[in-house]
Amino acid sequence: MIIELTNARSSIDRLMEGLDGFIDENKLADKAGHQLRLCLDELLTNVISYGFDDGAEGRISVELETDDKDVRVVMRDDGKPFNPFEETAAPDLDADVGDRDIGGLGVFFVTSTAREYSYERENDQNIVRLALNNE
Amino acid sequence: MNVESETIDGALILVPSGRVDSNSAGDLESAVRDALEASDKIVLDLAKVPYISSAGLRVVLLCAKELKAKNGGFALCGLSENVMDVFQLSGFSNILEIADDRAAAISAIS
Repeated sequence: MIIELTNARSSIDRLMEGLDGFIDENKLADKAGHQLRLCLDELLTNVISYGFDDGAEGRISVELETDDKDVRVVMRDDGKPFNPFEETAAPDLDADVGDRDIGGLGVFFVTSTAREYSYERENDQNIVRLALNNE
Repeated sequence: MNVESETIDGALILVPSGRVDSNSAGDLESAVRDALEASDKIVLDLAKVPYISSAGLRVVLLCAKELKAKNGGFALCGLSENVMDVFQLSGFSNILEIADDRAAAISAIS
């Protein structure tokens, strides 16, 4: 299944609707469905927020496939080169309420829930691949 | 998203319904800001929230920080297993008051 999106804010809703369909059709495990929503919500939000210059129209696609064991995701966008796994500082998980900052948490959710994750830049596209356990 | 509120024993209870993703987190933020104007004791009941992202946690943290600065009280309750996972991953479960149910949340900040 491929979900085609733009860099408009409303793409988050379209992504979630697309994921609902994919999760239902393939009867994904509850936890896998939740992790899939979380990872893609965070990654798409970053691309929409930072991937394109103001006013630029961007295209983003999310390709999904699954079997009994795995959920595999390929997310492509034609925005500025950006490796989310290298260029985002890790959150300080031990800071107390007063000092705690929210930065970096979205990508941290992806790297801590996905079993595999990778980034490459190819043909002027950012390509992020994820593998999640279907459990 | 829809956010209901009620006051019990001097605590303002906020009950959002639906997913808190990066799009709907703004609605929760508006409701939290209104609640912060009205009360310095707030319970966020997440029983009707099946999903929360980092955008939602940002709003939760904002609420916790404001109330801490005012010496107020803040507690959460009603977290599903999936939502609790997100609080644990983020470390928020160590720094916030998370109660089993609404009554326990209210008594934790009374």
